[in-house]
Amino acid sequence: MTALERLFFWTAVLLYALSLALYVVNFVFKAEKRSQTALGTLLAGFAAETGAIAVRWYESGHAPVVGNYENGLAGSWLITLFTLYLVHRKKDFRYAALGSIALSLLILGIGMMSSPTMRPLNVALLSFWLYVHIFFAWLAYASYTIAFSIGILYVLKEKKQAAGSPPGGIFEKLPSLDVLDDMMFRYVVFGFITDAVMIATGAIWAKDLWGSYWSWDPVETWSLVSWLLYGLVIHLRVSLGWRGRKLAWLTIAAIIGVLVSFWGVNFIVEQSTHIFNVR
Amino acid sequence: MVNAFFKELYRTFVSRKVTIYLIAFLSLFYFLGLIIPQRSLLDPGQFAAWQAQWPLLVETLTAVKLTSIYSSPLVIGATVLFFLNLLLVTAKRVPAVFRSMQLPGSTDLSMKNVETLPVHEKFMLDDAAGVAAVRSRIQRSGFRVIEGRGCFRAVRNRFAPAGSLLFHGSFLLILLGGMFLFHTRFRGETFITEGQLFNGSRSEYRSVTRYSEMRKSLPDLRITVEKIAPRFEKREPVSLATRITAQSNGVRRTGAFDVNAPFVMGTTSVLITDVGIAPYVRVVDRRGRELLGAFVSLNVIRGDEDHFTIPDTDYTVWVKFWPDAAVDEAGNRTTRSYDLKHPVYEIAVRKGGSDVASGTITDAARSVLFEGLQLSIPEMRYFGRFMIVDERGGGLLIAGFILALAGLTIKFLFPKQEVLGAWHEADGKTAFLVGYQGEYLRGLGKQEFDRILSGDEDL
Repeated sequence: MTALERLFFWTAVLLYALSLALYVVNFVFKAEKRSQTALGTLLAGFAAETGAIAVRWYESGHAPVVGNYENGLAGSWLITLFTLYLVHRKKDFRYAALGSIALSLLILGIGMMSSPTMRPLNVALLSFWLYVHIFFAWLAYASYTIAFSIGILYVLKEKKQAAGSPPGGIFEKLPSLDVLDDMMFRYVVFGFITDAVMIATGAIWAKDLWGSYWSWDPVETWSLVSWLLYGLVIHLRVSLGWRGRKLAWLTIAAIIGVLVSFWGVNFIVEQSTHIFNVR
Repeated sequence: MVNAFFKELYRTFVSRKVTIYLIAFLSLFYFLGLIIPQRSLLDPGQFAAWQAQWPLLVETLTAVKLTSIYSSPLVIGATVLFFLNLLLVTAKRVPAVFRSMQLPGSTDLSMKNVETLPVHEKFMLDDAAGVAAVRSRIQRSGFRVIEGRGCFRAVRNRFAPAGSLLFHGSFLLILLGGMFLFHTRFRGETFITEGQLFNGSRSEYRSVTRYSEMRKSLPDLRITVEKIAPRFEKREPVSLATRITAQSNGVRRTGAFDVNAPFVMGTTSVLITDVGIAPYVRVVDRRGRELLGAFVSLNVIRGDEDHFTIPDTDYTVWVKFWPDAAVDEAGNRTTRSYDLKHPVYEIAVRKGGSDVASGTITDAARSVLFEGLQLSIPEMRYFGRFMIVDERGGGLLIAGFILALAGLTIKFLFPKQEVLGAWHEADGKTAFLVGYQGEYLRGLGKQEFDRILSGDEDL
């Protein structure tokens, strides 16, 4: 990790943390005027993280796809990009940033604690399919993160409405429950499709690398479980008409599958072909 | 009576509840497979060690097939039921899906029909030309308009419901592909040294896995490894470029391949998964009689210690290896890289657990002498750890993937949407009612509706 990359990285972390704090303050104290400052800070953090990625890419000679640190860098970048896109398109969704920035920081923190050392691209990772696989993985995880954040907003707003909160509160400025519900579902659907591409391209890559499309490797298995969980969310909405609070809680809970498949598996098991050592 | 029972059974089986129970059941077992060590995922030594540590637990888990959970009758049974459920549910929905995709030649709607839509709006227009303008705006938004007397019905993405059939149908292709792969699959591992010929006989494989009893034969394959040229950067392998000549089913071909880019001949793939050093070890006695003269594959390139025995003797030779030897500040031998620039072997000969002799070999002229024998390494080559896979059904699997993605995209990214319009003359004006409904959209329906009516699709 070069000094310049370190500078960009910590600037990004600092700005994300500041942006999160501002969003929390705005949300709790209904200080709407500062929401532009929070967004500006997030944008500045995003620019710093882009700088960190650019330096890393230039120095290592490959896209940031090796190890938890690089994956965390790419992942949190994409989650923030999705957040910025959502907030830009639909201003009343700005508090979705609460959940997504928190997750971005978590991903960056875990990455930094595990393996920030720069390593050459192992021959096992020299594949076109790797980039497709990882790109779609992050699209999926970013979508699920946004859906998770909207789910939290839904639950909070619904609870407040049920409690008969006085008009003019911060929750009034959030989109209607129906719109939150639709957006949450849209992000789940987008995540589900990109997750499917991630699994399919991973299987094709695995055939070239390990000689088998599917090995019931713990990471593979848990990715499948996670995908099936979101499949269940979609099925319950489309087929059984689940909406509202039930769907929001389910979307919030389903993120656990993603977290387990990304980090949890390596804590539970020692053996996974996803460690990518050619030995 | 029996007929009624089967009808009830069928009705229950094709219910969504059963689908959800089956998914939950399979997820539970997949989770168990994650926390219980699986025989297929561990190497035999690790499994044996676990067994020795917890004999009763392992015996119990093995007895109920939880140590080979993915091939256990319960999981296979649940998987078959899941796919059967899927097949029947999908088949049951086919007529309704086809009905929903058909467009009638004309339509007949009243103002009341339009009012029932979740999003609708009423306009008072000066004349019917305003209706035509809205209709053409809807058409420009990609809707197909069906005319009626004083009304119209416009549909966009009418084939979206077919996405559901494609998606669920793809599971059957994936299942079929998976079954073919499982029953035809052969996987064998072998070590082949540069210049060596591999004839494909059972004894030449270090390990062989046949997943099904139906797979009987070995792949018809002969390989000569011409060259292995590994490249390392900062001790990380960045290429294991390999060149082989292979003969399979009467076809002979020479080609280069690497990790992630296997050598494929028909249904057989050859993969290289690792490299090692194969020194030519020569052991002669005092009379010059050769006790050993062969390339010995050793897993020592990354600093591990490996050993071999001298045939017909009790001697075990332990080998340490430095590909690009140097001495560090503390005076210990180390390697600068994994490139074979300055190879050094450290040899220790043992007999019955006791050291007999030791020495260092840096070139062909050096040797280690022990109890009247002389060990030398006149030559060295690379050997590759190759995986040979032979299977059928991959095409079905990939077709299934493509179909699944097409289905999901059609169904969810291009959902079916309808705009209904009805109008009548009243007091010299045209009362025009227009409404919208889209699959899955309630809260966002109004925004979509406004967007369509304004003709601003990029909003």
